[in-house]
This record gives sequence, structure tokens and C-alpha cells, in this order.
Amino acid sequence: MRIIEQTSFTKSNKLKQRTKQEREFSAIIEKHKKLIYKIANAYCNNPEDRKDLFQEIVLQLWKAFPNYNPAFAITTWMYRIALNVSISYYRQSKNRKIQTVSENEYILEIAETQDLEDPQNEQLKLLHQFISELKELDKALIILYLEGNKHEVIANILGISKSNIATKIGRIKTRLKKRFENLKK
Amino acid sequence: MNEQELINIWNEQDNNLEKSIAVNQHLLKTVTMDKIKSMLTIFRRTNIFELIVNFIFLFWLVNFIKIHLESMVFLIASAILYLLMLASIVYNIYNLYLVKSITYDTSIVETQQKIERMKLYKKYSINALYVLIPITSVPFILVLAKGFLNIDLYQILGVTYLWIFTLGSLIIALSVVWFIKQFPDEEMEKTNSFLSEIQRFRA
Repeated sequence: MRIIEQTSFTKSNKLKQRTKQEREFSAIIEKHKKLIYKIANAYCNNPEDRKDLFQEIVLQLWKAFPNYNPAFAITTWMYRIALNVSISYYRQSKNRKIQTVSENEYILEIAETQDLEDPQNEQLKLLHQFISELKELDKALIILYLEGNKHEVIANILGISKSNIATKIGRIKTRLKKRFENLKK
Repeated sequence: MNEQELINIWNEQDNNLEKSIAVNQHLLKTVTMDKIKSMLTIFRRTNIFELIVNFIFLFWLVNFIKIHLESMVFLIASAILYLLMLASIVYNIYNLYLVKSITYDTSIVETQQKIERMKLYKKYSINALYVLIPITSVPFILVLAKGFLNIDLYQILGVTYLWIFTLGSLIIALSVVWFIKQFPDEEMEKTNSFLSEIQRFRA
């Protein structure tokens, strides 16, 4: 009798813990959905692929969530997973679909309200296009930079030295600026 | 265009995104994470399966060697297969170690390097089959025929036929390699170039 009670107590505790984790995780995803979307957007031009990638990132985040160390910033942890998944996804067959959810349902819902006639949006489109022309790791680097991360944080996420970051960012910025200038000409 | 302008353009999307994207909370909660079939999971399962099969065959071989200790032909044949099995087991264990060491929350360069290396080793192991087939084909049929059917193919077919058989398998293996080389492996080239890209990125 005591064993049965103990087992049911453990089960109920586990369930409570999982529910709490799910709630925390949902809140984190809601708060940082833009971060995930922007990364998915930079790695996938096709809207359907982008939704798939967003889904894949969220699933991998959830898988890794129980091992998240709160000593590190949540965004650093998210950037690492999101960028790693994006690079791997980008390098895999485009036909690959996640098998956990139905084909017509996506965790990410997008309302197509962006006004593409807006000149600022036109520039954003161009910036996305120029970023998509970069190599995979350079793409990750410039996203982290444009997101306003410090060199130290970027170095930590990517796993290269701080001095290396500065040099590489300088080169990519020059390249992007040149692309914009060439268009003006 | 200056640096700040680039950042401003990038940040402009934030205003639109806040309004236009929504997370389907219901779906997020109902997704069963246990069913995730990632590339790594499949790779890990394949390696575990191979490891079990290799171990079973290895134990069977030990038994076979014990029984045929006095026959030089079967001893050499089974020893070749034994070494092959040992090498396969080491390879499977190393792969499993690599899979275990890959976690998406480590640095991007480190994770991607491990993933690409894993793909590269897999390709190398497939290519190695073309060398291993001619070497192991005769020992394989000799040991299996003796072990399962108690037929001594060495006596029945004779040395000359077995040499012809080896040469035949060598020609088949070479033909397969030649055929594959006619169609360059794009994935392998991409893996190699991405590894070089990582090296350059780190430099």
C-alpha cells in the first residue's frame, strides 16, 4: 500500500514539474519568438521551410530545456541552439519534414501584414538578400552582431576568439555596405 | 551607408514582427517531444544495432575458432573476420561517443565541426567497404558454410577456384568504385568544403 502511494506521489510530482517546465518554456518562446524568427528568416528564404525551421528550433530548444544552466543568459543558450539547428537544417535535404506535427499545423503563425512597398522594408529585404549570400558561419556572426550582442558574447556563442570576431565583423560590414553602394550606383 | 544604418534596417523588422507573428501555444504544448526523429537519433540507433550484430557475430566467431583451432585455413579465415569485427566495434563505439558529445547548446563551431566529421567518417567507412569486400569475401563464405552448413568449401571448391572468386570480387569492387567516381559525391564535397570553411573561420 505504501509503495503504491509513494509511486503515485512521485508520478504526480513529475507531472507537476513537467507542467511547470512547459509553462516556463512557453513563456520563453513567446518572449523570444522574434529572435527565433529572425534567425530562421536569415537561413530560409522559402516561407514554408522557414516555418519548418522555426518548428525544428523550438523542438530542439524544448529537448535541451531541462539541461539549461540558468548561470548563462537565456538568449545566449537560445542563440547557440537556434543557430546550430539552422546551420544543420540548411545543410540537410530540403525535403526533410518534422514528423511530430501535422503538415498543416505550425507552431509559428504569421500574418502577412508587412508592407513591402515601404522603402525601409525594401532595404530590409535587400539586407536579407545580402545576408543570405554570406557563408553559413558568417551569416551567424552578422545576425549576432546586428542583434546588438557584444563581441565577447558572440565569441562565446560561436566558439572563436574575441579578436577574431572584430576582424570578421569588419570584413562582413564592408561587404554589406559595398553591396548597398553598388545598388545606389 | 554607415554601421548604425545597417543596425537600424535590421531592427526595423522588430516592429512588424511583434504584430505579425504569433506562437501557437496549444500546438506547442501538445507536441510530443519524444517522437523527434533527428538525424543524430537515427545515426545513434543504426550504430547501436550494428554494435549488437557485430558483438553477436564476434562471440559466434570465438566459438568457431575454438572448434577449428587445428585447421589452419579456417583459423586464418575466421581471424580475418575477427579483426574486421573488432575494427567495426571500435568504429561503432567511436561513433556513439561522437553522437553523445554533440549537444546543440555547445559553441556553434565545435558542434558543426563534430557533425561534419561524423558525416565524413561515415562516408569513409562506406568507401572502405570496397577494399574490405575482396579481402573478406572468401573468408566469409568459408566460415559461414562451415559454421552453419558444415560444408568445407575449401576442400570442395579448391584453392584455384577461391583465388578466382577473390579476383572476381576484386573486379566487382573496383568496378563499383570506378562507377561511383563517375558521379562525384556532392554531399562529401560539401562536407569537406564546410570543414575547410570552419577551419578558415576559426583561423
